[in-house]
Amino acid sequence: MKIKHIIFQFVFIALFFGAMLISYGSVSMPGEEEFPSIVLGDFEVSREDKRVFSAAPFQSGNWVTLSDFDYDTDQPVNWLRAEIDVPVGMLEQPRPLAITIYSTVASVIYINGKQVGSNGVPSQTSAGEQPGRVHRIFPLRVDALHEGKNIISVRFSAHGFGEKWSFLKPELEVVAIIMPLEEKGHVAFEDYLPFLMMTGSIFTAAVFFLMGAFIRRKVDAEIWLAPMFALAWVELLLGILATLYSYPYSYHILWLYLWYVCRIYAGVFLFRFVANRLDITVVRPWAYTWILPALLLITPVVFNDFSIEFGLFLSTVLYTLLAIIAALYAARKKHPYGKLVLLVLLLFSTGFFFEQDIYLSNYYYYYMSALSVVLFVLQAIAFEHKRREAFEISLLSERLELELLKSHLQPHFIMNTLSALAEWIRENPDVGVKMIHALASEFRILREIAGEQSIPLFREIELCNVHLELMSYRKDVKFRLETSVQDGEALVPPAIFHTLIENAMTHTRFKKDVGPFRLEQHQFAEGGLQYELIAPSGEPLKRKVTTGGIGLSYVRARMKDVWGESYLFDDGMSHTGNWTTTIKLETKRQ
Amino acid sequence: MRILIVEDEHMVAKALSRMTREIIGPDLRLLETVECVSDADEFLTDHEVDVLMLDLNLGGESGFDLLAGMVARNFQTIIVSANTDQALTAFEYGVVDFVAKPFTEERLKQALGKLGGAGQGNKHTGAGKAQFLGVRHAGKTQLIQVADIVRLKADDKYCEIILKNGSNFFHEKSLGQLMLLLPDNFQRIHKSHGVNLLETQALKSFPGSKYELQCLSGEHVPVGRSYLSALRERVD
Repeated sequence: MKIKHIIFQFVFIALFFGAMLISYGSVSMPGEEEFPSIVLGDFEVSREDKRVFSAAPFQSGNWVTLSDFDYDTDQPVNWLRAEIDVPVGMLEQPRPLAITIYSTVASVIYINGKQVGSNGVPSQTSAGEQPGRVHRIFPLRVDALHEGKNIISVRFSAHGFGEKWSFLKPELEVVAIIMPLEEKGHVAFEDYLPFLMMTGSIFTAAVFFLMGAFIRRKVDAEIWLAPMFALAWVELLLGILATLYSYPYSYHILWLYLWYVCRIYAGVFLFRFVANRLDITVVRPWAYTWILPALLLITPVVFNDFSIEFGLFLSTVLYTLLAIIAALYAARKKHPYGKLVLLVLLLFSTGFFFEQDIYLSNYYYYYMSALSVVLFVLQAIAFEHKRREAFEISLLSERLELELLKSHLQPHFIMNTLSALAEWIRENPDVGVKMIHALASEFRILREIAGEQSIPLFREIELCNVHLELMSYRKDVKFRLETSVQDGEALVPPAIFHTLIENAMTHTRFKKDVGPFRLEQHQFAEGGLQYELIAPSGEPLKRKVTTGGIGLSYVRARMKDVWGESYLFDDGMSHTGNWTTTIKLETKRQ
Repeated sequence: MRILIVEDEHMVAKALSRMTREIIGPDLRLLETVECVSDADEFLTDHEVDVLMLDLNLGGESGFDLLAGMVARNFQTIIVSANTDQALTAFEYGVVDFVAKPFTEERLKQALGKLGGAGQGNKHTGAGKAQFLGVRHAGKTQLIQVADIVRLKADDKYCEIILKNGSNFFHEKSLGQLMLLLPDNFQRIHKSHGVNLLETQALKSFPGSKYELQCLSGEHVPVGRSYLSALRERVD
């Protein structure tokens, strides 16, 4: 068992890393590193709208760094500028170059004072502005760039900010990359192919876990994986949508907010899955499911300075951390899967420590994809395990039924009973008739209950009484059962007390004036239940028992079948010298 | 006749006692019932019996362990049991009869009748099915293969058993009692001698109507006059 566990964990880790490596190997980021690029932070801004800025030397004019800049509709048209370094050799390539702009503005782009293109039309008035698209590619003339430092300047307005989704404060974004034109087209396909593959595996995972619960008609921890993967899938679709369709920038904030919603709830479901899988009762689940997400979602609306991209970062970290804490707690409580889940979660978040921006927008999906593959494998193993278990249970219950019936068809039972009956008929036919009735009753009850998994306690008592009556005639000793029972409807596995009584009779010699068997049921306030079967005192037979133990193994198998592991079984000689069997149930299972 | 019943089922023991009393009548010198083997052992240390009636399934106790010990003793054993599937094995161990439960008085009478009648008169051939014989050796019961026995020699009320490998054992049963248990390849050829016919070679005659049976081992065993005709029927 231990070895199996270790091998299992090893295979699991190997799978995880394998999936990760495949993801990393097949994906490379669009060439920010390889090609000259500038991001928003590299720009300086001027609030004046002077056309001369396009051609002005870099030092001239009244420029401020972007951190001081606050877009203002009273001063709608502004300028950005930055230096971009074109490496030696880039211009010598025969392929034409292009500049790619990712932005949330309407803009005209200049390089070294010459206009290279316009993305929408910036304007002093809202009505005059034509919004730019979120990404555009402008081919460059051969003489547009020279080696070394080039100046990129952007004249822009962003009226769309205050209009469509006014409850959200948009985020100003301008990114420019210079790369060969055909390279861009080529890279785009290669870049997003792995995304398409990930989309496939994540979508399959969502459907798989949803249908799994549906087919099994049972809601378990895995059900939370369905919405988690579904949301990751929606995120990927949003990403693919933005790549394939360059929508007007005013929609970008909505796009970003949808992404944010998905990420928050993916986190919620991840946490719920981990907690449920590890049998942790979450205190105030609504706080994690509704209140915290609501706070996260309202924050960018209420506080305009709160960036949604920071929100993405925050929510991802927050819920992964909650899941890790839950796993840590379970691992400390020695839950069988505690360490495993903790390990996976830690692996899941390793990428975060390398490159946070890329983790949030890229690695996150590789991990999701790797996770889906790993969970498929685990689930397949679990299904196989469950199928086998169900098969074994059905075999077991058939075997138990047979065993109970067989014990009464055994010659020892039936032939001794008939021999005793023959003698009674000679000696006292009235007793013989009573004995026949007791035997008939015992067989009738046995036939009815043998196939059941559990029966009401009163039925079991009925069986014990009729058996004791029969044994009284057989041994010519007056056996009887006294009971102290509060809940006669409580379910017990069939014939367990009956078997225990039979066992006691085999191992003890009772005198003519034998006392009663006692069956006591105690209910605890906490909901636990205890049964105690006390045999009358007698002389224990000192004998080498070679065929014994069958009765006890029957009782144990029956109890396991009904109560699983949630019972305690104990038997032994009490201080009063009575053989006592105690069965304690942790919770009352009905 | 002295009889001990080992039976833990009260009503069965009662029936056995009653029937035995009726069958044997005034010849019954002793009839005792005990519930388990340890009680039986205790009783047997102080008392001699002729017959043991034994239940093979005494509440969880395996019958054959105790049977091996019982059949080595100087009394005959009748099994009274519900487990008829054990009958064959019981015979192989050397019991005189196996009475299945529930039993009738006639069946019990038949079993008890084997003890009184057989072994006397002209019946000199083995009447049992024993495959092993339990012998008490150095305080322990040991099973020997009946097929390994070459011959038997009466020694007072005991019996000496000589095996193929030359070793010999003493059995607490008399030669007559053992002939009841041994299979029909065993033949009594003298008041004090029995042989395994499968281990003999030739019947030799000597002057003065003296006869000896030669064993494969080379030994010569005397043949009693009154046993000769029955032996001739077997060897010719």
